[in-house]
Amino acid sequence: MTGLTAALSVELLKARRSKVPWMVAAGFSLFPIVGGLFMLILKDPERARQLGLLGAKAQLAAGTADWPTFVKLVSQAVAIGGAILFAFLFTWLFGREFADRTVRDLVACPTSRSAIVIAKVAVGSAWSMAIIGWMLTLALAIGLTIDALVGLPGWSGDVILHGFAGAATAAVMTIGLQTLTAFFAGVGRGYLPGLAWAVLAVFLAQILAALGWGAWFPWSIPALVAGVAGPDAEVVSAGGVAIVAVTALLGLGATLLWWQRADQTG
Amino acid sequence: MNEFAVATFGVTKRYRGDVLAVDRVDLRVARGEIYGFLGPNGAGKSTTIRVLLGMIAPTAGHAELFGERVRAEAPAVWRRVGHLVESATAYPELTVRENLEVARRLQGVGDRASIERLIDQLSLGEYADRRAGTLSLGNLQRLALARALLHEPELLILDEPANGLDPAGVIEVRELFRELAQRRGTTVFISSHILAEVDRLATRIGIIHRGRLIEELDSEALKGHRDVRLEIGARESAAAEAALRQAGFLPGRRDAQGAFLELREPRAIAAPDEIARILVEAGSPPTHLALARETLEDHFMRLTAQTGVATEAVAPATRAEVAA
Repeated sequence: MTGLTAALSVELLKARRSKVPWMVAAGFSLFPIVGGLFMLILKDPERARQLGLLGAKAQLAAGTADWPTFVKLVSQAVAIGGAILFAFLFTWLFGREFADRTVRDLVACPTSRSAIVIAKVAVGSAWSMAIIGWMLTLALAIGLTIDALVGLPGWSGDVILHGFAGAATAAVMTIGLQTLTAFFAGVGRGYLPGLAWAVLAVFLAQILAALGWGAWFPWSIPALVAGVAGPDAEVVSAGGVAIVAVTALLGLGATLLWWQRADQTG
Repeated sequence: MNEFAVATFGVTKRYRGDVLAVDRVDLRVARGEIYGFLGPNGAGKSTTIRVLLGMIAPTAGHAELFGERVRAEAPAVWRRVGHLVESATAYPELTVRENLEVARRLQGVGDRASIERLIDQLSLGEYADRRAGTLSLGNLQRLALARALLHEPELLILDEPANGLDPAGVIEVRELFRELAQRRGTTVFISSHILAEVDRLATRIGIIHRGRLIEELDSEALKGHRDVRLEIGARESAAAEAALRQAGFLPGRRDAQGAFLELREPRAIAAPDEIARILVEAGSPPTHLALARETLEDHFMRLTAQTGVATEAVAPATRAEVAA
């Protein structure tokens, strides 16, 4: 693969200079902040009403103010919101070359097209994982701060480790599935098709999970792994993991093939 | 060593909906040539250029650069090719220097000083640290040209390289291409709608119309192909016409009002002074007498059968050049 190092350095430079990857990181940072806010409200709803955090008649059905609920909220946000936020990053990585019409400089270039695709996927994945690392660290810091300020019961290393490991695994699976977002951003030559695909996939994931077929649909599986459906949810087997892995690889293959073969008229 | 920098063999491109964009085009561009590729809008210029750059696959036929078949799987040839396709583009959030750094890395150019050299060469110094998204169209075009030249390519494929440039910029870029061709032997394949520019620069010209290559000529041969005429103005054009007919010439009317006459006979072209003498002696001295050669634009319009030769379209500069 000619020029992979060059392609990686170029993608990193573009990502560093753009606002989009930072906006995605900011979006993920909201999850533990909102989770922490919910804990404060659940801890003392009357005081939250007095402070204006909760409407007079509103009720919060997130559960109780404890560590397991807080970790579950963060995991839910990663499993569902992550599918959209990661799609923003990947559709930007791929779709921007068509929106800015810079693709013509990438296809007649000594750096091979496959190196460019692999570099984009690698930078997108690495950036996404760094965001998840940052978000989980932030969540831990927020949880500990609330615990210190008002007390958050239910702390156990096992709860934290299990919950965060589930969120991280769900995130890795969701990141893998973004190869399909990349594919649609290419085929649709812009940002919207990739995002439209991500929204459709999340919608279908919700429907199929509700119908009990979630363990077979790649975009439902991360949520199940994150324990979104609760402790009684279907246990995701190795087969489920394989479904996600194969789908991600098919997406990567399709993206590589499309970049190699499709006419670039943009 | 293959003598052609660019060659196409029966290149045909049919888009969905049965649109035939390019039809069996056979191009041959020798090394070191400046090849002007002309055609009206929608004639197939950009499609041909995209085929040359491997951006689109031809429906039939194939293209070769330096004797190597153009394929997406064989990117090595692009080290030898610089290109600018249609409007200039750049990463808007990156500065001019960063955009060139991106190109340097992707082109595998080891020499970092090449960026500063090109910034200087294309007068981009003032804008080097400005984001490309804030550049004027002309400066964006300069950036795209700098990117195309960064790796000192042996072949430049340029689609409308003068887009957005001011008149001084057009001249500057023309001289740059000429120097590259003369000093370094760079082959330049240039498509432009500014036919006067192509006329001044190209050593060979190809004209594409409705997807077919309808003419391919050396610029010297093309000059021979162009119509030359003697334009005559007189206060009494009817009397002047009668005098010329009496002297055995066959004057034609240049305009609807008949105020101008023209002669195409070689003996009139060879001796305008003799025509002046005839008119003076007949009492209809000429108020205007000029040799005019059909411009490339006129030739192009005649060839593509969109209109006839238009007197008004003949640039005064061209008349002066011919007269001189």
